[in-house]
Amino acid sequence: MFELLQQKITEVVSISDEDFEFCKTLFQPKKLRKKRFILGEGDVCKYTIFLEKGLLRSFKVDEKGAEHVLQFSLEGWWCADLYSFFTGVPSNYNIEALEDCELLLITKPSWDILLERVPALERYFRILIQNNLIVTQRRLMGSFSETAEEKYNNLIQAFPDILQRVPQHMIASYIGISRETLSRIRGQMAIRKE
Amino acid sequence: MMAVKQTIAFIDAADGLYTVLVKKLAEANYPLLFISNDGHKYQQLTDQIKSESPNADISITDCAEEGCWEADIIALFDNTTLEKKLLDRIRVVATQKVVIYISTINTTSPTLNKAKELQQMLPNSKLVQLFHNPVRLELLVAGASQEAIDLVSVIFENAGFTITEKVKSLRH
Repeated sequence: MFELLQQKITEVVSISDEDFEFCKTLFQPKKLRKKRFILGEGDVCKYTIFLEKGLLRSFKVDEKGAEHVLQFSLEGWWCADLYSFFTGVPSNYNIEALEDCELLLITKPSWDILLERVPALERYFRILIQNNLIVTQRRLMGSFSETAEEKYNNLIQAFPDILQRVPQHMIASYIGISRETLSRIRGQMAIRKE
Repeated sequence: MMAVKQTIAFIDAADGLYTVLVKKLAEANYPLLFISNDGHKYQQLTDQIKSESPNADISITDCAEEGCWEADIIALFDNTTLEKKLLDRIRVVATQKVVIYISTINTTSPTLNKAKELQQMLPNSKLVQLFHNPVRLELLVAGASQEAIDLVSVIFENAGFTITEKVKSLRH
């Protein structure tokens, strides 16, 4: 149950078996069925989530009812509305299981205890948040400067199997283009391959 | 989007005394999971609840580990036999979850001892005792974790119960 978490942590920092055993006592294991939500708009984001198995999407619904995908999270990834998690302010978005998921959840009080007791994990999360900031900045820059095709290519390079796991309209929403534009891009790429 | 509600697993819940608790939670749209080897008995209860609350979200499983893994909150009753084998199976998946131990307000069973035993067997769970008044929709909530007491109180208040007292320790 905790193997992937341990693997991901030890890829970045060294952690003793004793510290990892303590770490395990603070995470809440949770199975989440496909199409169920772990966070709803208007709720405070109580957990930072580690994905052991499955696929989550974070999205916002606008006033017209249109969905805007912010992020897909895969096995070995972390997922949360960090603004809501750290401030206690209700979240503006939803987190939904696109597949049956196995999650490890940690609350803010448990997170605080963990980082105080295990300095290696403070370093781990600092590096994680640092990397996340870089990815977010690059994605923001890309939203101004990249073509739709470049955005699509970047997505499938980062998540090679995403096309098999996520409906096209959600991929289009994540890239910020219409479903029709996505179909056109895929069609042109297929012709070029031939 | 409605608020995401906690999934509550009931281990051995099909006792008439407690049906009102289960029905009220289902009416308030809390997803429920019944864990039992006697699926037929639970199917009858499920059918009865769904005939009164068609939108009730209820599942039945015979696997305690799977059910408690999916649940956010686990509920046991004072007539549930606290088998070591069962508690061993759910210990890991119950980590950091609220475990509710339900009795009637005028119980004659050694509730405190059983609650302490349960807490020892599930050391990383947050144990809350819930004392139910079978005549009225009234509950007393007790436990060591204020956060868990508050969470359980909110859930049962949403389901139409009145919390008459909150006690910050396990009690008789």
